[in-house]
Amino acid sequence: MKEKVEKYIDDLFIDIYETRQLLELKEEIGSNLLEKIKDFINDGYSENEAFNKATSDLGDMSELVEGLKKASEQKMYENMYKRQPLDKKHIIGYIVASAILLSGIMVSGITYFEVKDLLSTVGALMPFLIISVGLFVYFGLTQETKQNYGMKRKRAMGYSLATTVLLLGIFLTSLSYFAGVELSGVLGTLMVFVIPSAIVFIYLGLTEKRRSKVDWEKQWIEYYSDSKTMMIHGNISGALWVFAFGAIPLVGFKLGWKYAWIPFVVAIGGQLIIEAIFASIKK
Amino acid sequence: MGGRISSDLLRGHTDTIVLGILMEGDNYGYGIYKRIIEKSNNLYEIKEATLYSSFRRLEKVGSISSYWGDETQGGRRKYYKITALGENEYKLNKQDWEFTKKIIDKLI
Repeated sequence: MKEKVEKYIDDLFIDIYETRQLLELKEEIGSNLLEKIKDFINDGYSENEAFNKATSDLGDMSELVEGLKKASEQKMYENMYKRQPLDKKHIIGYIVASAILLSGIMVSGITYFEVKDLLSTVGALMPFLIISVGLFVYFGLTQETKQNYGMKRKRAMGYSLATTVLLLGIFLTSLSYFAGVELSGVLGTLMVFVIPSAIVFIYLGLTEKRRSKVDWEKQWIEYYSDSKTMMIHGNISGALWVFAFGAIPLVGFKLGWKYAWIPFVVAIGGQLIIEAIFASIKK
Repeated sequence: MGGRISSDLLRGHTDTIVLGILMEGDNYGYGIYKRIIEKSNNLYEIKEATLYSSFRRLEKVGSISSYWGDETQGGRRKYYKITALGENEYKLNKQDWEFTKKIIDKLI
């Protein structure tokens, strides 16, 4: 009966884009209708009679349908023409981040002319670069734009810290590499930084909520509703990672564990290519 | 005595009828629907479509707010709650109606 009611309601709103608002309305109408049908069945009607009686009593839904359509069109229009000015906090944040980056470039420039050593030049730039990138990430994520609401502060802080740790890791790794440390030691250094930041990224990525303001508009529907492409997308990614994780022990045993990370990196690259291809298909 | 209902006249007061029922306490769509039948002694059976439009309208202007119940069987119920603004609107509409009723009683 539940499926029958859901199908009936889906058909009622068939030519409206599936928005979150519409999904809620459908759920509301569905649960009310089911309860009404149950009451009719308790009164002695057969399931079919109860369904027909309950649905014929619903009345003319056209006003509701029109209202929903108009609301979604109006919202889209507003979003197209509304400009979002930057708030003071973000302006100051961006200026500070840029200033730190600029001072970093200047300091490293001076260092270069003083000591003529590339390693110390990069070393001088790095602390500035890392801090300013962290700030840019934080302010970029918390900023409200035309399409998106700003991210929550704690969450943005998490992304910002994970990025800083990752950068620090890459910096220290390259430093130890150029300092002549053995490759396994270099990778060890990298892992210490990459793993925690990867865990933070994965956690934040999986718990990410939609911040989009346009989530109940046409684009969203066209983007997500094509279940076939979504399925192919999922299958290809799944296959890629199964192969990658299968390849890790293979490479490890055959060529040595030093190289076991290579399939993982290749898989990340492959995943990015898949994302790019599907993003271009969707357009 | 004829029992014909002027549904147009009644429909014009749907929002106030809904607000009146929510004055008794929070309620959900089908509950409100049943309460209307009950309160009118089975004389008026509102169309659900009219009710849903009314909920949307009232929520948009801030006269009512909504929240989901935590029912697990069947489906979640969407409950409505009257706001201070809604209570005020209800009182004003009721006063208007009392006044109009007096005049109509005199005229027809």
